[in-house]
Amino acid sequence: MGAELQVGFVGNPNCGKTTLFNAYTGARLKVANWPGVTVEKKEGAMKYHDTKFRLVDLPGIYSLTSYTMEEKLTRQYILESDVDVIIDVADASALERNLYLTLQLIELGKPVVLALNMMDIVEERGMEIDMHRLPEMLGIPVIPVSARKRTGLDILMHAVAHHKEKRKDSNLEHHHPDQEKSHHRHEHHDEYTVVYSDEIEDKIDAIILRLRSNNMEVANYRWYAIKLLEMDEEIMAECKVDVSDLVDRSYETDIINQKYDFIEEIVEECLVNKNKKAQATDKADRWLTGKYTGIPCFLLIMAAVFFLTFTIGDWLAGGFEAALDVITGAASSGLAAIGAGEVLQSLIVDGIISGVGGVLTFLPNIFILFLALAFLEDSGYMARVAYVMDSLMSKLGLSGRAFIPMILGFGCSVPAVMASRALEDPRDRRRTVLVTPFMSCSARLPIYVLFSDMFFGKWAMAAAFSMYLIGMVAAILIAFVLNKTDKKKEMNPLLIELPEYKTPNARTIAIYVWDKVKDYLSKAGTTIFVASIIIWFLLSFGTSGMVDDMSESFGAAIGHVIAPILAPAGLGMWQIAVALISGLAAKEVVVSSFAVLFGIANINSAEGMMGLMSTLGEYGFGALNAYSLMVFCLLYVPCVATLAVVHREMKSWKWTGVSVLLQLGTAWLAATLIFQIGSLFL
Amino acid sequence: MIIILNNDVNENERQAYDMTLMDGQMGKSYLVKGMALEKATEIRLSALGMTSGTAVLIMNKKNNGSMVIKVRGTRFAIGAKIAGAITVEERQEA
Repeated sequence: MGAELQVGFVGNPNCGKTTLFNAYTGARLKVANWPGVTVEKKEGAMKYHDTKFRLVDLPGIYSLTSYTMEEKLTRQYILESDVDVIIDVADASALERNLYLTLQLIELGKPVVLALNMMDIVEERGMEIDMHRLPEMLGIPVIPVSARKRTGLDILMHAVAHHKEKRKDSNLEHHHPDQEKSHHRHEHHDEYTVVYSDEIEDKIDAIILRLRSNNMEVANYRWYAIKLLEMDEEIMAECKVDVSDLVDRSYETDIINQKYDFIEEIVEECLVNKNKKAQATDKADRWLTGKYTGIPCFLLIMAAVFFLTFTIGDWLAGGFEAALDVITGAASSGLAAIGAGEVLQSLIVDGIISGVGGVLTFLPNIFILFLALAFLEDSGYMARVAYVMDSLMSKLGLSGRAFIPMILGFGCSVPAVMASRALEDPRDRRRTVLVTPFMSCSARLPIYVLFSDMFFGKWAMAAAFSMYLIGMVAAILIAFVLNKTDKKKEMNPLLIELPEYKTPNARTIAIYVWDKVKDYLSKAGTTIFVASIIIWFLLSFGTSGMVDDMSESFGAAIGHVIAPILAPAGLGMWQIAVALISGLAAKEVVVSSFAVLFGIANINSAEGMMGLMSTLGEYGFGALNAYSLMVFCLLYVPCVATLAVVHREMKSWKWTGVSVLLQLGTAWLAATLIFQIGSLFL
Repeated sequence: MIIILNNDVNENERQAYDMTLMDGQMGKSYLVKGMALEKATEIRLSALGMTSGTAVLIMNKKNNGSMVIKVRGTRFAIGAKIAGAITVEERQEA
């Protein structure tokens, strides 16, 4: 058995690279970050015949410059790690653009195998690729595969195993039209896949000579010389030999143009029947990205996603809740039966099961939401949203893509914040994470329902609905203010590929959704577990030990400290402070805390509401206070789970802190304004 | 800074020279002549295949100038800022 073969997967975004990678590794992969950057690194292992392979999925890139983090990282990985073979995954249905990266990879000098993916689409379209001529022109093995149909997978690995010993770009067979006129006719055209104009080739030769005579050791002289001619920042900084007389200007544009000239030659020779059939994607895009139809189509699709999330999700969640009731009942009687102590019983039933279980009941909604999202993403629609919403969002200093997490926020802030990961620009991502929690999530609805029913009579619906509007306005206002205060005004201009529409791949979706669900479960098991215990402790213990009366608990003591701060908003009661704190575990808990704190049984019944209303009335808590409370609940820190993901996405305590302060500040300010201004009129 | 990729601009063409992609019509094809953007964006566009002389088809266009284009068989959405900085000429249909 040979040693392990390390294989790097490189390719353009949307070329099916991840699908191909998943086809080999399945869900058995290790996801980590590349050292020092927030780019995901995926690794998997497999065995083919007697060879062990370690597969590394690199970020999707269009070229190998040093302008973006992903490109630098890929370049570094290929040059510096002990990768044995590069699999260049190319979308055969967009061969012309994909070959550009291929040529750059070949130039790097490591063994490259070209995996021509999506051959099924090529055939469907009535196109043909000359599989004999293409490898001849590129000088590397070319293997047709279909990651979705799982064809060609073994042959590809076979080629990888056999191509690990890098020869020269071998078997090259070029017939360039201008070849006869070149004075570089000698060895170059047999030796290198891409041969540039005489002017550039002369300079490359001169630079290599200069590097060698100065004893500069580099892995690949030709590549190094080309990068110097492109005035590549990283290489220029690194090169200690002065070549400024040879590199009189940047030849980057010339080099790119000449690569594309060669690609045109390849396409001319190897691609038969270009664009034979009218493409379905163009027809769909006439509507989906149309000037007038784009936004309505988007709204319809979003409405459908919502409808599914809430109908099917809630239907499944009902089952979860019923199961939770059964478990709670069984746990209390079981614990009583084995004679567990009162403290232990309370901890398990009131603390852990109600806290963690309460959060788990959202799992079905989250599952459906991410299923729908994965569907939109994998089908190629998501990129269109950026274009459709661009003009609206750019007024807020956000990219069109930021709209997606904000919409999801109506469902649940947790997946919404997680969805901001799809944004490329870190500043864009940060702002989106900051404003998304203001979108009113479904957990806040029980609070609105309870208080608007109690205090607003026939206007109850309007009062509840106004919360959604206030949330949106708050998000938009804050995005606007953040944009105004941001010193770096320069917006990244919109430039995004709109991939071909395709039927989503079940395997890709399954892996994506499972990844998210696993994330959510592990969070419920850790963060929420701990938070539930802490809140239970605060409300069940006081200076005298375990207390039955919550007013003697540590929680009450904290409530008394906080109450005066909330007084300007008309919320200056210690019970409200405690309820709001308990709401950090999950927003619905505010409602159940009110029930417990005011000793009301079955709070959602008519009697329960009457009881709570009269008790609250004794404290002088009226309709205005109720509205202020609803606004506060809408805007303040959503829940521990959201905070945990905010922290994970921001990767900084500072920004998590900013997020918390922003939410608390906005909530206090808005509630106070409403209460104070309202008091003048009522 | 405008990088003139096509150096032999004669007087007859001079008038049409200032046309950018933004002035183009939906459903029509244009040839790229040059661009005047930040260097990183220019290189990114070239790497995506938008080199001088490349045909660009405008598939969809919004009032604010952002548009969907097709270059070398791939669709891209570009903002008004990019569309207004790419100089083009009308393609002579063969």
